[in-house]
Amino acid sequence: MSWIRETWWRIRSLNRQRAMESGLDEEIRFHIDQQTEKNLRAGMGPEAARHEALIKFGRLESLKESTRDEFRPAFLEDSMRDLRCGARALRRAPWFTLFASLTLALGIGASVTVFSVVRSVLWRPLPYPDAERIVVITVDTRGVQDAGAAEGELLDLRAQSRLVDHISTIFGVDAHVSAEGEVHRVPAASATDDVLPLLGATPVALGRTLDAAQDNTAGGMRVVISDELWRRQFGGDPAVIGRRIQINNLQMEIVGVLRRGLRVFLRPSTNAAEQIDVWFPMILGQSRSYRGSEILGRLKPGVTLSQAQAEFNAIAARFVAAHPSAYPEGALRLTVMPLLEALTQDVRPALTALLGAVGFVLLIGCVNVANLMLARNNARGPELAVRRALGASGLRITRQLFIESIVLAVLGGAAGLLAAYLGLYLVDWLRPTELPRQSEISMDRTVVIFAIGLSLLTSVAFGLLPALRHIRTGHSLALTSVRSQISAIGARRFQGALVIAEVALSIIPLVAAGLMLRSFVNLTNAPVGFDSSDLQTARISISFHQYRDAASRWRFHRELLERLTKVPGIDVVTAANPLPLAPLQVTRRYGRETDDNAALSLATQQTIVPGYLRLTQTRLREGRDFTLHDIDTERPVVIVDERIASRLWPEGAIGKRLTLMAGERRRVLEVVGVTNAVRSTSIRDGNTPHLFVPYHVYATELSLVVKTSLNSESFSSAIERTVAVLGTGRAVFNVRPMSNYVSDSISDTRFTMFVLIGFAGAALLLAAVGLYATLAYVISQRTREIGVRMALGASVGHMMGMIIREGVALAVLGALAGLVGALVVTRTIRSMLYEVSPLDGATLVGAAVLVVIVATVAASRPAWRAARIDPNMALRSE
Amino acid sequence: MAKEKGDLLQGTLDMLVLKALQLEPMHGWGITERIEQWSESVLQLGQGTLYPALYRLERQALIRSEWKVTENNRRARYYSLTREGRRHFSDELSQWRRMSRAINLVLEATAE
Repeated sequence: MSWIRETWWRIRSLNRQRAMESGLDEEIRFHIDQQTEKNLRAGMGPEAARHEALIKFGRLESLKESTRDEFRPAFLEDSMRDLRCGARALRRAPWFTLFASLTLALGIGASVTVFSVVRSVLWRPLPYPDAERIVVITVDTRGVQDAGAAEGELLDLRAQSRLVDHISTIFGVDAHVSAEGEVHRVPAASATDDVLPLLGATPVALGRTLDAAQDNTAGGMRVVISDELWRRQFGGDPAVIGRRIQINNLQMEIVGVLRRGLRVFLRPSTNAAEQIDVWFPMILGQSRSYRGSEILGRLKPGVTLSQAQAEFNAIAARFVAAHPSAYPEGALRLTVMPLLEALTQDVRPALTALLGAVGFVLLIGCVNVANLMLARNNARGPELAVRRALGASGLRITRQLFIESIVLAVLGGAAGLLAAYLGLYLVDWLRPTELPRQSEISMDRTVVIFAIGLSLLTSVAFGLLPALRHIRTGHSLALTSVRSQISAIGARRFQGALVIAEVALSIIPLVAAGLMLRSFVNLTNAPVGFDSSDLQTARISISFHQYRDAASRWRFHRELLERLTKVPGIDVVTAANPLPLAPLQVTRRYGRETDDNAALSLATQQTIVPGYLRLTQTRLREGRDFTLHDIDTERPVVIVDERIASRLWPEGAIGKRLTLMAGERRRVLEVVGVTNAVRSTSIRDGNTPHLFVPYHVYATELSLVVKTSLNSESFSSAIERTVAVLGTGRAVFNVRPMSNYVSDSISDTRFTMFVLIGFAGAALLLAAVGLYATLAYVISQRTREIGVRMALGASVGHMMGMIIREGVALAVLGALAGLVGALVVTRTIRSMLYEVSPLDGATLVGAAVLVVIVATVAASRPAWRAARIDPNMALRSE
Repeated sequence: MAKEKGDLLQGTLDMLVLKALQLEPMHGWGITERIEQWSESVLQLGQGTLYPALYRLERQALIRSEWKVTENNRRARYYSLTREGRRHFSDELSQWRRMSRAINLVLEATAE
């Protein structure tokens, strides 16, 4: 029964704890005082009496410990107390706490952000059933890589492949949906029957999925709509199946509604938006001439990629044998690639580089934290020694330092997670256009655990390491200054090495960022051949049923342009398609009239109307622009850029005859003008030349290009009104400045550049902080030496110079080491650079100089403090 | 009933403290003085052994404590035996006597 009493006693003692604590202190004091009095009576001197009483009493600290252990549940209480002590100790060193936790926050925040992005985009499987087995099949033929398939090939592949099923294709289109008198453009797609099951969209929520055989008829088309459109337009009406919807001026019947949440992550060449609202059924034809379709498929269970590839190699050979005219010189290659890999191919190098960069930041962060903790614990050496002398066990001290490290880790980790949230928000805001699956980017549970673990590991490892050293250095209060000097020098060397490492590590992202910056500047200054500033654009869509031939389409556009010119606020109107640097470009094979098909090369083509060249300041070197007369009389003319002209006709291109191939169809056009080189596909691509055709040669939909003083809203409504008068029943969309297309095309480079600059800046800041901490510690250790020197006549300036020189020396060593590392590492980002060599001297030198300047600034404050040391105080301090 | 060695020593110390308190209530310092005197300066309690023992004994309700004022007008905590403590002490004492007699017999025995 005594255990009941004991427990009751313990519970009561929890309450009376404080009373007991002070009671114990008082008891001890009383005891020692009594002994002291006895000693005094025995004749000892006052100091000796007290001293003997203390010794006789024994070790105070551990006595208090074991006594306390008797009256309370020890471990939890001790830990709580250590926690409070730890927090207090951290508060008493605010700069250290601030820098250390900021460093941890930075390193962890950055790593978690980049890791989350990389994991969501590159590693996490796509949200489709059996996503790892979904593949794309790319077609390389006639000298063009990834040319896309022809519909006839698709049909044959379906019939012939045993290892891949669900062979299908999809192409993004616009759907102009009329509702309540208004027309809205929604993203839509034309897809074969297998696509929706492939993407896991079946079973559908209402109705049935597409069946092209019955849904794509001459009498009318049946479509499947998305959940979002269903709710928006039909209010979630369950009786929507069978109802009609007006799309593109035609009545179509709804046969199905998809489940919520389907996201289409396919390559940009499919033109398919992430969120598709209307699905049109597609019937495949037999043509082998027109290409551009993306082939999707899924490996059958148990089939490996290499097996499928082998099969497709055989099928390719069979194709060539069966259709020799379609594949001149037997040039056909089919490649099977997992969809995720194909989707992320372009962005993989940039993301990998970012992952590398953030690794550096993290590494530097850890080194910095180690440095700061080392400096701090060295400064606390005397305090710890006194505690040991008073009887605190080594275990106790270790435990306390351990808990301090944990508190710091928690602080840093929490701040880091906050930083990571902000980082992901920033990624969303920057919205790099080339980054696929952006909507799927989220912070991962795994990443959070990783971050917390990393934070704990760093601070505990580096917090305990110095502590363990102290435990072993004996506990006599008479730690001689000699011994402390020796261990201090060792610590200084180690710290110095750490700083050199930090600086070296920080140079590498700095150089990378500098190279990206130069690339970006080069890109923005690249000669694209036209000037897009101050021009607005808008896409005009028309029905090809309503305007069946080129002539009627031209009449529509001509009238539209004339009407628009009269609108107040609109100065000049012209049109073209596609717009340069817009995502989808038109490519054609071209050559001399006498060249046969095999000798043709690739160029980008733009359909333009007269006036476009002048408005966009595309310079005509020779010849003339198109005229309205050219189009009215359908003259077969063409304008080429100087690259085509100098390649085909160095003697002069005007009047020469150009062959243009669209699919199987050959046209011959007369060259009437030569412009500067125009880059239409991408700024980086300086090799693909460009040509312009007048409207009637390729009578497609046009984008308006307008010089106007109206703001975009007024401009947009002016166009809509004019278009409505002409009655197309289609919406006007993509109203945006022409320069947007230009900046979008380099947005991925800009994104990488900003991020690298951010990381480099962070790394540099961390290195500066590390340098500062080291120098501050060095000064505190060498206070006496500095005092002596100043007493012996060294001037303030001399002392400052000495300290600064030390700091700069460390920085220079680090910079040299870092440059060597940079030379190695920057080769890996070569593919992302533009007109800058990875070994670019200016960048390397610039980075080194920047680091040295920062080091000088970081060293200046410790130097200033050193200069203000009073020699008298210094000499007396120990 | 075999005890650990540590327990044996602890138990012995407890016994000494209880004995010291048998005559009259005493504070911690007084207990050490008394034991030191009686043992002719052989046993010097200190070393953080006394106070943990006192708290342990109090937890086991063998002694109780209260704050009083000494002759010199200083505050001190005085310990005294409870009835349970007295009973416990006499039990321990008789056991100790039996044990030490047995040990002595063995040590003094000559070979036969």
